[in-house]
Amino acid sequence: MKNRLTEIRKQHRMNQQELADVLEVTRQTIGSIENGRYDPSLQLAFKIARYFDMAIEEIFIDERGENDES
Amino acid sequence: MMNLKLFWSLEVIGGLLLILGVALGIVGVEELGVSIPQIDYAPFAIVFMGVFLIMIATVPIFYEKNKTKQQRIEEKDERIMAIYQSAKAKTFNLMAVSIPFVLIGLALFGFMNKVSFFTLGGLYLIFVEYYAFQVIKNEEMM
Repeated sequence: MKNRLTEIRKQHRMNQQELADVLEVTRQTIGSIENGRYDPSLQLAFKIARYFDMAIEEIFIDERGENDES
Repeated sequence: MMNLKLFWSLEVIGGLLLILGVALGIVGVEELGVSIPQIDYAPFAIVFMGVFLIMIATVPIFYEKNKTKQQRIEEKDERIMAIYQSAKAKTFNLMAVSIPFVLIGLALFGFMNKVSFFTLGGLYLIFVEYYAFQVIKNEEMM
């Protein structure tokens, strides 16, 4: 699953460690999500979305869903 | 958060076993009047069990008491949990496949008697049944 977490995090002038501390996860987890190596759980996705005051769909992009629709 | 009560109980049981083992060693196992093959090893076995229980209980107690915030976060981190669960699942698959081959191989080449073969084979089947039980339980829950 693709996501815009790096871009959004940088917009908020945060580094990975700061975001990890807020979300109570490790910095490596943030790195893995940003690189697309790890898809977060729904709970963590909601936590991220809530923190940035955005909808989940604005941060995470389900490529399969997009392909299905087209 | 780990269940510290369980570890403290293990610590106490380990301590009691240690004392019992040492006492048996001093008094002598013949005093028990039990006829078990190789009863001479009983004090060593009981002391070993006691020390082993104390060791496995002490490490988590110390860890839990001196845990930093970072360690607490790592413990709850879903990615780290997923990493360990995946590793455990793959190891289980490997064990489930390799153990029957090893058991049959050892039995065929005469390295195993009937008792140990059926004990280990039975234990293996119990674990497989337990796995099936967990699958059914999880299917009902999820």
